[in-house]
Amino acid sequence: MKEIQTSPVLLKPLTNYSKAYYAFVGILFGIVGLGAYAYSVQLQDGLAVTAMRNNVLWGLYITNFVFFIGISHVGALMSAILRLSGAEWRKPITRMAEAITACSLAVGATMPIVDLGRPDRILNILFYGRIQSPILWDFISIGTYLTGSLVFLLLPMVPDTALLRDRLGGVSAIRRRLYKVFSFGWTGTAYQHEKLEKAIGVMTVLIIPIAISVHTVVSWIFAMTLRVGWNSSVFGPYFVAGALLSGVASVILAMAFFRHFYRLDSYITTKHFSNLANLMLAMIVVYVYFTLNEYLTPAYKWETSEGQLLSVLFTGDFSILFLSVQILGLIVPAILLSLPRTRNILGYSVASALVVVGMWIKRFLVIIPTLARAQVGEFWATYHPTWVEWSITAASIAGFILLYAVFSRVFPIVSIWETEGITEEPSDFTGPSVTSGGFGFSAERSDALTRQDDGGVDYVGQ
Amino acid sequence: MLGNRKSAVLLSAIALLVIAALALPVTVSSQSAAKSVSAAVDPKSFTVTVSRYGFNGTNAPLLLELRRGDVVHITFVYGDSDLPYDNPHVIFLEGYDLRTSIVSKTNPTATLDFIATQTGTFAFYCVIPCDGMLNLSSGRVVVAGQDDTGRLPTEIDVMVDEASSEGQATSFMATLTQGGQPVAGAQVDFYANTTLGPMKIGTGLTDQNGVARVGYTFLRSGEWDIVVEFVGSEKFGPSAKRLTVNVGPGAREPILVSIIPSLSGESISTLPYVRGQNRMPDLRLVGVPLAQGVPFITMILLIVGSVWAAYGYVFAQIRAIKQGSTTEITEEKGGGERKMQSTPAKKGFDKRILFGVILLVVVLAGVFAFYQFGTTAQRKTETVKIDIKMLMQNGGERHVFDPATITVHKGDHIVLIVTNTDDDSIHGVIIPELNLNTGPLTGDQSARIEFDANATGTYTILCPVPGCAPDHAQMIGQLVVVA
Repeated sequence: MKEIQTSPVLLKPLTNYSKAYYAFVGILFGIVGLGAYAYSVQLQDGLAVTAMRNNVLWGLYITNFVFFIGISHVGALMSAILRLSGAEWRKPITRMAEAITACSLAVGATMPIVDLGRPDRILNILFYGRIQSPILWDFISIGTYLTGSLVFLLLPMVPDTALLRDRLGGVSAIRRRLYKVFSFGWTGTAYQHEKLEKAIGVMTVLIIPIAISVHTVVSWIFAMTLRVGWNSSVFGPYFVAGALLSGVASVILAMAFFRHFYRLDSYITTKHFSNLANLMLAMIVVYVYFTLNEYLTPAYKWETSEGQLLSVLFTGDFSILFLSVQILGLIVPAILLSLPRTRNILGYSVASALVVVGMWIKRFLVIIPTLARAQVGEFWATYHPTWVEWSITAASIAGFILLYAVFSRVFPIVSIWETEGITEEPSDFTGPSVTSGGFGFSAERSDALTRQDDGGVDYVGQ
Repeated sequence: MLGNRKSAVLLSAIALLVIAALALPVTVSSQSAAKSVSAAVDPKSFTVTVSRYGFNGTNAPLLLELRRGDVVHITFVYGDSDLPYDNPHVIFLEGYDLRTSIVSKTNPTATLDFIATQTGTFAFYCVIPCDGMLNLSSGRVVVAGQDDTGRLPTEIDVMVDEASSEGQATSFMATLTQGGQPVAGAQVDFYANTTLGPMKIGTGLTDQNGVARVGYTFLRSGEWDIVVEFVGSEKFGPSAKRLTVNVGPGAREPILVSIIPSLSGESISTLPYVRGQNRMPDLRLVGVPLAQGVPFITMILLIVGSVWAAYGYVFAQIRAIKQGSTTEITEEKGGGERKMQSTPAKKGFDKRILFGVILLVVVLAGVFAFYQFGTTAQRKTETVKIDIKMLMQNGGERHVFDPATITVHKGDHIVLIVTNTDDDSIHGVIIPELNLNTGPLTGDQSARIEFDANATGTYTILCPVPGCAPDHAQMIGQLVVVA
């Protein structure tokens, strides 16, 4: 029976919790608590405590919704595409990406419910939903995608969860139960391998069109509404491109974080950063192309209402934000990713942070200026988000990070069975207590693997 | 890893974007505030001009104040004579369920005559698509309660803190009197009129001076329409008072406003204010027959069903994994030693799961389809055709619906096929009371609209395209639903 070589460095975060970790989680809980209090105020007093009114009826909540749904794309799409294309270098980072998908989707899907004001009215979609409405399409596609992405996350985790079930000592009964449930009785037989590969294969093919459809449908919420600025036929691919861009940037940030704090230098190599940076650069180019299409065509014609909206974006009240997105969110990151001097982990991280913040603002700019311009008459409505909206927004971001941080402390953030023996260089880590032997797994590290000089990784079987 | 200097660069860049985010929109001039216009020519007679700009030339609320029992005569006068085409209106008064005849270029006046038997506030508005239809939505008839039960008539007076501003508490003080004497121990309700109707902002009990106090924090600046009401008691009759409160802007200004003057909103406030002229009907309605088609919905259900069926296959694989273990782990109580037990591997996955999921999808799709089509399927379907024709009459053109009167039966599902046979003009069919609209149809273009005839009655058929022809206002038909 094949044995999985287990590197202690991958298991250490699951058992050793530092004070800094507790402090970090405590801060995140505090922010989530603030958001919960703000939400309780909103539940009690209604949406009047927000700045949303009859003109600007979607504000920060829907901005967050589109942002998180966008980020969620990367796990499914990147992981699935790289799996299909047989890119072996992806193995140490796919779980990070897939976990981002599940966490961001979980947070993003709650935002429309927060935006409802009366959360119980979400049931109206089930009882009174019209299949002709993009809102219902959104509900169906996000529900389908959430299910699919969770399955897509859990499936490749089965062998690792079985390893934790059998080998990780000193954990709570709840966690033991968790490992037992999600290992699905895995013992590593050839039959189970065959079934697992088949299931992953189906999900890999399935998740790509689902992921693309989700963000396309999210864009249709806007594009199928008769509003200036939203009458666009490229919104679908434009949103998908933006989602991939922000998603890849998020993965790079996650990689930098885990590489540094979890000491995963031997798994997450500069090669991974370099490859993803190239992907991000390509996505920036694609996104700039779509942006040019999106703004040049109406700007060339300058139809009355479109022209007024573009004036506000280009030179008016939203121009600082608009230019920030173009320059700091796209051009500067592209430069950082292109110059040899900044093609390093710091440069990639800065570029990614800029892209992530820039893409959030971009979502804001898609929604708010259009709504601020009245449908009837040519006045402009006001929108100053209140402390309730900012608190819930901060809580959603903190909640996403919290989910992600907890996940990485309960499950290995790097796939053990897929990366068995893959390391760039020996680690000086002396790992946690890992029992050895039994059920086809071995705790000893493999010395049989070497790193190729060109930065690629050579995989040597057992 | 990140050096101090590099960290500073990173933090500075992020800070810049965050600051930009905090600058979030700074706006701008707000809509001209509502104002109360009294159009009284006589205490019980009113003349109201109806135009694309609204009632009496403005889209601000028009209040016609009455007392219960008044005999009321309202004359609506056509105010769009400056347009080169006709822009007809029909005014409907809620509560009393009254509507005028068509007010148009050829019929420049229409009247409403009634006795104000009901107290309260009743909206009146234009019910047919016209230029400026939304502007013609803010008429209000306010009928104050006049005591007729022998109770003592009361009066209410309200004072408000003039320095009220957004985000800060505004105090109201209502004084209830009867014949100049204070009424103590009475409940006074305070309402703010919103786009969603009256919103109660507080309730107060009058003290020995007849004064009830309520505080309320307005979260939006601008003019607020406030109603203060005493509903009456066994001894005292009801009374109410309306007033407008000006709420000033609060101190919530984005950070960058104070740093960058160009963000202060002045640039946008210079944009010319033009009242809305909503000339086009909602074009999306044209596509409704397509979007509501069975093939469209079936396609969506098939796609979603296929995906979930594939999920079912994956779930079946997971179950197979669970059943396919050759070893089973058991753990003795107290965290003791683990043991292995061999169990035979099961070949193949349990197909029942796959079939179960497919069955579930089919059932769910069926339930959904039932709610989408079920009620329609149980009704008898009646198909009716209407042609819009241009006839030559007395040397001039005349446009008609053919047939002009359609009779259908209550309880049937009606399919209305409308064809515009007039090659020279754009017409359509709209039945406002049933919320049916074909949208504009060009020559020889047809549209199909479906509805359930749920209530008997006579419904007016009109053309939704203002100015389609000189006789647009005369294009009138009838849909009669009989039992």
